[in-house]
Amino acid sequence: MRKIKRLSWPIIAMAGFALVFIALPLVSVLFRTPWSDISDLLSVRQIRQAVWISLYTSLISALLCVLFGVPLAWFLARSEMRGIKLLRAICITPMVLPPVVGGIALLSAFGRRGLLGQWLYDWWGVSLPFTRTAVVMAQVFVAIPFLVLALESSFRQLDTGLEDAARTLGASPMRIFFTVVLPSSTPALIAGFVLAWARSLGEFGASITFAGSFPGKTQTLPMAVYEYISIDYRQSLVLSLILIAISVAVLGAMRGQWMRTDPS
Amino acid sequence: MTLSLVGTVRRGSFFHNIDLRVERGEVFGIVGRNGAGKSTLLHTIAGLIGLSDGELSVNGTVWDNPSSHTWLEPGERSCGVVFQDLRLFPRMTVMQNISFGLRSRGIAQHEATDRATVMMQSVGLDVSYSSRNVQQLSGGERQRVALARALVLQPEVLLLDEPFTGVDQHSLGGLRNLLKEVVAEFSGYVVLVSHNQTDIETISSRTLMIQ
Repeated sequence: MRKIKRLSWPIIAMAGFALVFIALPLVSVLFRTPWSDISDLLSVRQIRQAVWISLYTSLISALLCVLFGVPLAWFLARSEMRGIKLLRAICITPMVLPPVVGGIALLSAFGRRGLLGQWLYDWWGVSLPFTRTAVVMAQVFVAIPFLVLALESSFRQLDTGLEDAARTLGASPMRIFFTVVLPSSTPALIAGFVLAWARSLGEFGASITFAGSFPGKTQTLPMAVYEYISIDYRQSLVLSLILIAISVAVLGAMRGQWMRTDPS
Repeated sequence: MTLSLVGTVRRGSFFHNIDLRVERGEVFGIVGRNGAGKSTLLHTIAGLIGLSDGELSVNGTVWDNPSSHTWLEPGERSCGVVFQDLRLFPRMTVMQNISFGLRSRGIAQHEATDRATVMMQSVGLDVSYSSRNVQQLSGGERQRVALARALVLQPEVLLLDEPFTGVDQHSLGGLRNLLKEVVAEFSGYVVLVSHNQTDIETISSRTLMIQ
């Protein structure tokens, strides 16, 4: 059977160029990584601490995103109140905001002189900036829109008929949410969680502004990469490789979500 | 002892005027073309749509009356619904679907399971089906699950919306006989809606045509 020609050469050439442009830098890190010294470079205490802080804070952030983002997504999907479009826009703003601006915004709210932060400090002596809590807050701030967006669109596509059926059977809104709605949105919930976690893991701008880059305390992997560029470039390469490996693993785990080729 | 629904329901820009009185023990059939408001009528009784004006009462208890601000939530109405598209919970087993209403009303797991099992048998579903996912069932079997899910709560009102759609020719006879038995034993009010006059006439004791 004759194969139908669907693509022309200029399209293929430009697509190929884009592909190389994306793949080349990633592959280059692999080639430039000093493989023979990798165990020495990884044994540095500061590096191990950065890996640990990154994993620990990003996981907590992703869980917090689920805890608060799921109700928010549900509210945005089902509320019929006026101004809901504005609320939705506010909720996804951190996605398009330059992360460093996000850090400034967090300082403005929760810094010692911040809108809320001054009360926290004056009344309870709580100072949030430049703590590990601040790292988590910055990550949640930038990551939660990813989860909310993924889940909200899934909630909107759900058949409200099932919820109606559950209502006639006497189920409370809470029971309907947990037994009918959430199980139908499990793939979106997983996708949202992984996205939020990956975004938290890669967070740099907002965190360094709001939490600072203190080794062993608030310094995460991306901050360590940045710091080592000027100190020991090989170290930066190794850390970058770790982050690339994690990202690829995430993509691999998510292939059912994004790599689907059938139109369903 | 009457189910009385007199009033107006608004759906978008359409107004449906309804005047329906069903006697207890009666099987009331409604025939009409698609879009005539048959499902709207059932949804009004079930509490998924509110009346714009008028009153819905069952055995003298008011379920919906906008002028006196009386409103019973769908779950508070003693009303079982078999929806046209069934609306079985797709991620649940047969047992979980049938016992859902009992569990929602706070009935303990073992009692809910027992009652659901009895109900399965009375609608002709083999007990071995209980752990199957509802998506694995045939159209006729799914229809029986939907019927069992509605009946297990022992409702005062049973609403059947096009109960023979999506059922293959092979199982149609069996299902029709089952439904006849079920409604014959049912002591409350049955409202049955279909676009097929033959279906209605074989089961219902009184028929209304709506345009």
